[in-house]
Amino acid sequence: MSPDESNKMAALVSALCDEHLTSAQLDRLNLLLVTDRSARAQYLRYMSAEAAYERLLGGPSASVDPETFISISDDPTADDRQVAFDAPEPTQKLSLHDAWVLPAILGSDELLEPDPLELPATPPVRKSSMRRTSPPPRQRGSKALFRCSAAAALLIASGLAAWFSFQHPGPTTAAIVLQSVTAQWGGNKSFHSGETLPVGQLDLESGVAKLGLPGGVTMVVEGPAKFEVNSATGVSLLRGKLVATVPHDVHGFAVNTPDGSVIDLGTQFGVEVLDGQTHTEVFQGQVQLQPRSAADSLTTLSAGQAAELFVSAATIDPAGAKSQHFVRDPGGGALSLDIADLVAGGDGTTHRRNGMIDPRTGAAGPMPIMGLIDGDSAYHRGSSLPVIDGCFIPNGEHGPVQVDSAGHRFELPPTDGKTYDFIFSGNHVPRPGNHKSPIPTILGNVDYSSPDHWLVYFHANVGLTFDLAALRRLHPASTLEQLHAVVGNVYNKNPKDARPTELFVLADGVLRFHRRFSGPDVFTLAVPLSDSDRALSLVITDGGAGNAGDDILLGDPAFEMHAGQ
Amino acid sequence: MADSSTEQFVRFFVAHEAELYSYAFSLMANREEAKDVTQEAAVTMWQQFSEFDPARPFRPWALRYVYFTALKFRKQSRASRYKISDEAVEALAEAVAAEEESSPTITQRRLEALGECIDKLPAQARRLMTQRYRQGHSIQEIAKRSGRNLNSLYKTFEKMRAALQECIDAVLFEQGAT
Repeated sequence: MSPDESNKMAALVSALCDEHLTSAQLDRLNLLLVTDRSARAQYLRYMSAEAAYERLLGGPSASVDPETFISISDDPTADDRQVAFDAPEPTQKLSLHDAWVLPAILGSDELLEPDPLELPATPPVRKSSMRRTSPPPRQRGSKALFRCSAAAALLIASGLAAWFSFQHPGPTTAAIVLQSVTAQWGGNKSFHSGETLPVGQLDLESGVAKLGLPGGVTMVVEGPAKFEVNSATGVSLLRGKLVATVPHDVHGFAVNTPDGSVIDLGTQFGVEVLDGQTHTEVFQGQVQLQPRSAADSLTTLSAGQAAELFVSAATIDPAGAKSQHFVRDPGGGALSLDIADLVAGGDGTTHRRNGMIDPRTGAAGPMPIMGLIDGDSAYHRGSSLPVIDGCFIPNGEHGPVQVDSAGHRFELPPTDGKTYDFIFSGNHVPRPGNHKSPIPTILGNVDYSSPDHWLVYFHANVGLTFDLAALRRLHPASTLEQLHAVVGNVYNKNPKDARPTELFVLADGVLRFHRRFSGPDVFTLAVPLSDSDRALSLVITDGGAGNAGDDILLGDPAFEMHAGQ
Repeated sequence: MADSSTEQFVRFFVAHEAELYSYAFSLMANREEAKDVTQEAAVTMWQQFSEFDPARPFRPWALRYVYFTALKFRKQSRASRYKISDEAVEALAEAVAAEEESSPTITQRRLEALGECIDKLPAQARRLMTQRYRQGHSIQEIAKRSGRNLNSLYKTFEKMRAALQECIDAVLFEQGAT
């Protein structure tokens, strides 16, 4: 194969990997693969590397504790004659495609999400993770083997009769830890990913643990919590929060609390026991609520609904299920948290739309068109969404403006102190105020009303502050990396009529980004976040020219997270 | 807890998982389908591990399961629109089998070298690779987010892939392994 032919082959394989291969190019590639030995070899080399990039760059697949490898490779019976797979350096992590091996063996669809275990403490941009190195310190021990999720899955599978069946739950084993994120257990106990939990009451003092129960039920418990796994079909929750995900072929699974039982009907639901009350939210499917002293009084709760369960009755919570209240999955891979979903009450991954926040109060939920509203320049704590710290209508005329609930202030410019309507998230912006035509949704060449996109709409003057600590709590195994969005004013595209607007991004009251822009300008906002940032404020002001014509869109706004803590 | 044969299988599987996935990816040309194939092949291998002769190497035995699982997926029309033709898949399988005879550890050594080469990527190239592979963005998404020309970005990735292959060759040459 000549250099030119090799270059052409490289271009074909690259186009294949990037999914822009034409039909004619595919035909050409297939022909070369069948007829040209060198082309086959080149294809295999490229594809082998392509398959490895995700793992070597710390992509969203599971990681394995290197000690696990050490313990495995240290076994004198291990046969390594084919590939001398040296253990990595102790500080390195290997990432294996084990998260999706697990669900196949367990037969539980909900586990098909990647389920990384014990992610590295630093962003997993690793050095050559498969490099041959001098042998690291070696360890032995049966528990270490379980720290590898693939290994754990297969070992679990080997004990299916005892473990993942209803007939023979282990006499001393209640559950297996599928993922542990800074979990601290009471009673000086320590359970790592892959280890088993004993029968009896357990006290998760802090952190998050994802557990696998006999039968394939998974449960994410958020500390502080006291609970006990009674059987394959029953858990007692005495205090704290858990989210249970129950496969369709498991029937009658129930979470029992001091107030009664939450009985699964094939679903995902959250239960919180706090101060003697039981709160339930359903995310998928249905559950039945059974009060302890009124067993015949069953209340059915469907996806999106929430209720309070009392000893003698259950009452529907009109606010509905708020996925921001529970950790549904600790995650662990790279995440792009959809801010439109967050504003609409989701956890950033649930694609909720049509969220509204009243900038005068921080209240979230459906609300009528309000038109022009006067602000008081005071900070208003968000009331219902955990990830929203609060809102304000900024006017720096009388001094620094409070921008978060911690009391941080920032010298924002004077404004006319008014805004229109609400902060909105979704696709089509409801026609606010006195607009006679729909709010445009195109920035650059992208229409953010299309199904693959999302937007958040602000009218100057408004400030919205996110509680980053709440975001981290919802996704405890990932790390906030940056705020990203495309920004522009969609009101007037004619440069002659352009009116200035200003965007400020503040972290704990400290300026991270500022831009003064007008109608035709569209720019990309990318603000790096640090682990110490607690509150992030987005502030739109009127540029000193009044708030008229300041319709600002954030296109595809997202908090980007990378794997690891 | 677990019987010794399962522990042994786990050791083998974990040690070779990256190569098995790589092979599946070559046959399916799609990450999700390659993961499905490797997953199903792993389960089948585990179920039939009693038939594995421990006196023989694990890798060729496992590669056959990946190959036949890939064929099964393709027959079930679960392959993507970028499906490599049946003839090409057969030719690739023969090439891998031949390589298994002549140089059984070359794939592993190239992957090791790739790790070193990724370390040497310039910051900007590494950032692009991170966006593509760690954050899972498509080239189109990266182009949109960065405001870069899409075709130019395709070309950039093509060059990066070629440069990494050259780097791998250089590393192996230095090691006297080519």
